[in-house]
Amino acid sequence: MLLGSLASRSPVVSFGIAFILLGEVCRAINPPEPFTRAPYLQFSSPHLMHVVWRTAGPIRPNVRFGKDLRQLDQQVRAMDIVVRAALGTHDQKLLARWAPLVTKANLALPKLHSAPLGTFQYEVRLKDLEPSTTYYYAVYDGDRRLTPEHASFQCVTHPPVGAVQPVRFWALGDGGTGREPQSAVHQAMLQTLEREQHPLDFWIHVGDMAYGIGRDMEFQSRFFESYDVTLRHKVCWPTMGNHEGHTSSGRTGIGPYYDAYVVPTRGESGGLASGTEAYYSFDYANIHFICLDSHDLDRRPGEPMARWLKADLEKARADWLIAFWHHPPYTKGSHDSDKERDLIEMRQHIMPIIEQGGVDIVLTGHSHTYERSMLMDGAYATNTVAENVILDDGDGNPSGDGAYRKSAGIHPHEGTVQVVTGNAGANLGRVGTLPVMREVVLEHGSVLIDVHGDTLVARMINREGVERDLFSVVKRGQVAPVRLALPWQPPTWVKPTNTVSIPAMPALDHRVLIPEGAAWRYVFDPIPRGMAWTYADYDDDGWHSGESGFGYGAGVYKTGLESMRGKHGILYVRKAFDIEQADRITEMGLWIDYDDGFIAYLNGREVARAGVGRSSGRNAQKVSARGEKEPGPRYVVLKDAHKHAKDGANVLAIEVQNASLESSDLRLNPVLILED
Amino acid sequence: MNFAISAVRILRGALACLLVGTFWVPAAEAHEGPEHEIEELTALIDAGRGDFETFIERAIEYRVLGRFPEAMRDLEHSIRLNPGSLHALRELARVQFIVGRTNAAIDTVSRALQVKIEEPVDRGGLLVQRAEMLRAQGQYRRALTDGDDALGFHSGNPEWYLLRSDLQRRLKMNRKRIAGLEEGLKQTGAGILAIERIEAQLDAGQYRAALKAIEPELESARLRGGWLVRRGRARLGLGDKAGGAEDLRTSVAGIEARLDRGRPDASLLLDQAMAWVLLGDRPAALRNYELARDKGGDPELAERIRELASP
Repeated sequence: MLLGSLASRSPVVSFGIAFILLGEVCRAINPPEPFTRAPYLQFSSPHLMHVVWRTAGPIRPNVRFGKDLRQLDQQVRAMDIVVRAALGTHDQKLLARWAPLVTKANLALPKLHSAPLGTFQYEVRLKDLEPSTTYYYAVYDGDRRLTPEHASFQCVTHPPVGAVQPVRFWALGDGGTGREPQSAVHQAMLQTLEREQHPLDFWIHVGDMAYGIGRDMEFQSRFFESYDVTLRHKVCWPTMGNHEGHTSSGRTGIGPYYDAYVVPTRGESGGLASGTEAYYSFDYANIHFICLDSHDLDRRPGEPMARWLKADLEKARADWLIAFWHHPPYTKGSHDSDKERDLIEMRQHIMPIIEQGGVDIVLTGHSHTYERSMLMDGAYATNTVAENVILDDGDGNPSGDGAYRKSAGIHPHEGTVQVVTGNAGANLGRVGTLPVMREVVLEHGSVLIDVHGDTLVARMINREGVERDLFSVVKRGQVAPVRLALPWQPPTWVKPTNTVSIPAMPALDHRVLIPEGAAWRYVFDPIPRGMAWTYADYDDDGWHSGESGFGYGAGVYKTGLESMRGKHGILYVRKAFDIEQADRITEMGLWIDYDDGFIAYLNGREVARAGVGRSSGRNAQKVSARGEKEPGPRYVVLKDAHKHAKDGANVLAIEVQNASLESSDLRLNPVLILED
Repeated sequence: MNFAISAVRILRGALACLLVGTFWVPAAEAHEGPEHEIEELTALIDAGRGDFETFIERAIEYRVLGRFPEAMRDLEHSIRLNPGSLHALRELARVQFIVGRTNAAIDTVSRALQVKIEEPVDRGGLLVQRAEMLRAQGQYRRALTDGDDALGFHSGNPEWYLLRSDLQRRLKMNRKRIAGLEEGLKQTGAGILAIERIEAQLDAGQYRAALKAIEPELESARLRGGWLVRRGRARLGLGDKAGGAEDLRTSVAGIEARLDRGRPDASLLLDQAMAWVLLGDRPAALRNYELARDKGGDPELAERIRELASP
C-alpha cells in the first residue's frame, strides 16, 4: 500500500518502485548452482578456444565437446585446465564451510583477487580444433553434467588467417553499471542481430566493464551476469578501463580484471607475442586486432608497450588493422582530450605509431558518448585542430557523401577513423565538440562492425535499436591522400541550459533485504548517547517497535510519530538483517524517503548521509529542509558497504534529523537493497 | 538449473526500457570527467567525510589533469591518514617522479617497501619502480640490484627483463644481459625480448648469432626498416661493408617513405637516425635525433644516437 502511496508522489517514485518490483520478480538472476559464474568463452584462434567458469567450492572439472550437440565425443585433458582459487589472506576469516578447503594443495593454486572466499575458477583450453567450425560444449563435475543440452553452449573457431569472408563484431565501452541502460544497449544489439539474422563472430569491450572500482563482485554482476547470454557463445576481447584500474594493475598483471580474462600472451591467436595480458593482438580472418593498455602503462615511444606495438605492426599482414584501448585520443564527451594527460599521451605517443603502421580504425571508450571522426591522420597537436589533418571530410556514408577510400592493403598515413563508444551504459556526458569529429550522438548505444573483403561498415545502434550513425571504409586500388586545408567543421556545441539529471537507481539485478513495512526498533526520547546505538551488539531492548514508514505530518505512516511534533527533532531506528556471505556483496543501497535529512550506519560505520552537513545526533550541523525540488524517495548507495558488512547478523541504523523543531513533518521510509 | 534467465532478463529489460522511455530524458550534462569528480570529492572532503581513499581518488583526478602539486598534497594527506596504504605511496612516488623530485620518489618507494605486502609481485613492482628512478639518476648498479631482486619476486613480466637489460647494457654486462633476456624469453615468450636479445647480441659483437636471428624476422616482416638497420649493423660487424651499407640505405629510403615529415613518428626517426649513424652521415642522424627528442622519442635511444653521431 505504501509503495502505492509513494508511487503517487512522482514519476521518480514510480520508476524506482518498478525497479524494486522487477528486482523481486527477477531475483534468480545469479548463475544456477553450482556455478557462481556461468561458463563463458575466452580467447580463441582457428584451432583454440577457452571455456571459463566458477563454482563455490571445488569440482572435478571437465569439458566435453563435439560438432554434434548430442554427441560430445571429445574431452579435455587435465593438463589443459588451469584452476584458481580464492581462499583469503591471512587476516580474513573463512566461513566454517570453507575451512576444509584450506589445504596445502589448494593454497598452492594461483590466486583469485578479491573473489568471494571459496570461489574456484576453471580455465579450460580446447585444442586442436578445426577452423571455422562450430563446437558444442558441456561442463562436467566428474561425470555429472552441469550445463544443459542447449545449442547456446557453443563456440565457433576463427576462420583461417587471411580468409576473406564476412566478419561481424560488436564494440562497446563503459557499460558496466548493472543498470537499465546497460541492459537496454545489450538487448538492442541482440534484437538487431536477430532482426538481421546475422550473428556476431565475437565482441570487443573497450573498458569500464565493472563500475565503480572493478571489484570481483562488480565484474560478476555488472559484466558476467549482465552479458551472460552472449558470453557463453561469443568471445569477448577486453581492454582494461580506468575503473578496473582501481583494483587491477597492468604493471603487475594482477587483480580481478586479470582473473576474469584469459587473453593470448604468446601470440597464440596471431600477432607478436606480448608476454603480458595487459596488451596483445589477434587475427580474425583478414583483420588484425591490437589491444593496448592505455590506463596504467607508460605510453612513451621507447617504453615496452609502444615498442611491442611498433614490432607487432611491422609483422602484421592482414587486409585490415583495427586497434582498441580505453582512453580516447580525441574526445570532448565526458572527458576532454585537450586537457587530460592520459588522453594527450595516447595521441602524442601512440597515434604516430598507429598511423605509420597503417591502422584503419581506432575504437575507444572512457568518454560517455558516441563520437566518430572523419578520415584523419597526423592530428597529434594539443589542442586538436582539423586543418591539414583531415583526408576526407565527408560523412563516410555510402548513401551520403560516400565511403572513405583507402588504397588496397596496408599503407601508412592514409587515414584512420576514430570511434569513441563509451556509451554502453554509464551516464552520458559532453563538454564540447572536437573539430575532427563527423558525428556526435549523446545516446546510449554501441557499435556493430561488418567487414567483408575490402569494405568495412560500422553502425552505431542506440538503446532503442535505431541506427544513429553509419560509416564505411573501402580499401581498393590506389588512393593518393590529400590533406584538407579547410575541412568541414561540425557545428559548435552549446551546452543545454535545461538539463535533466537522471537520479541514481538500484542495479537491475538486486534483491530487497529489508522491505517496506518491516519491523524496526526506534526511539526519539530519550535520545541515545554516543554512537554505541549504531553497533550490532547494542542492546535496544528499551526501544519501541514499529513498522516502516515512520513519520508525522503530510502522508500516511504505518508508525505515526505525532508525539514528536514540536518536541523532538531526531528519530533513531535500527534493524537487524542477515547476510550469508558478505564478500558476495556488489552494492548495498537504500531506497529511502526521508524528511529532512538522515545519516545511515552499517554495523557502526557511517555509510550514507543526506541533508545533514556535519556531525551527528544532537551535534548535527547544517540540517537542511528537504525542498519541493527533490520530493519523494531516492536511491542512495551505501558507501563501502561490502567492507563493513559481516557474514551473518548485521545492523542498519538510521538517524533522521529535522531541520527545526517547528518543522511540519518528519518522514522515514527505508528499503534496504542488495546487489549481489 | 535455470538457464532460462535470459528470457526473464529480456522481459525485465523491455519493461524497464518502457518505464525509462515514459519518464526520463537522457541527461546532457557532464557526468564523469575529472573536474566533475574533483568537485564531488571536494564536497565530500569539505563536509568532513573524506577518508584516505577519497584523497587518493582526488589525487588521481588531479594527476590526470596535470595538477601535480594538488595531487601530491592529497596523497601526502592520504598517507597521513593511512600510513600503510600501498596504493597511496605508489601513486605519490609516481607523481614525485613525474615532477622530477626523484630523491623524494625513491624515499617514498623505499617507505612502501616497508609496508606489509601480500603479493610478491607487488613487492617486485615497487622494486622496478625504484629501479627506474635510480636509473634516471644514473645509479645503474643500485638500479640493477633492484631489477634483479624484482625478478626474484616475479618472473613473468617482460617489461622487467627489458629494464634489467637496459641497465646491463649501460654497465656493459653483455653476457649477463643476453642470458637474462633468454631467461625472460623462456618465462614470458614476449616478442620484444627476442628483439632486445638481438640488440644485445649486436652490442656484444655476436654478429653471426644476431644475423641468424634477424634473417627469419626480416623475411616475415611487412615493415622492414628497423630489421634492415639491424641486419646492416650485423653485416658491417662481420666485415660485409657493401652488404651492410646496402641494407642501411634501403632502410633509410623505406623509412623515409613511411615518415610524414610534418608529423613524424619519433621511433621511426630514431631507426633512421641509427642507419645514418652507421652510414657515417652524422649531420642527418643529429637532425633526426633533435626532431625525435622534441617529439618525445625514446630518450635512452636518442641519447645513444646523439653520442654516436656527435663529432
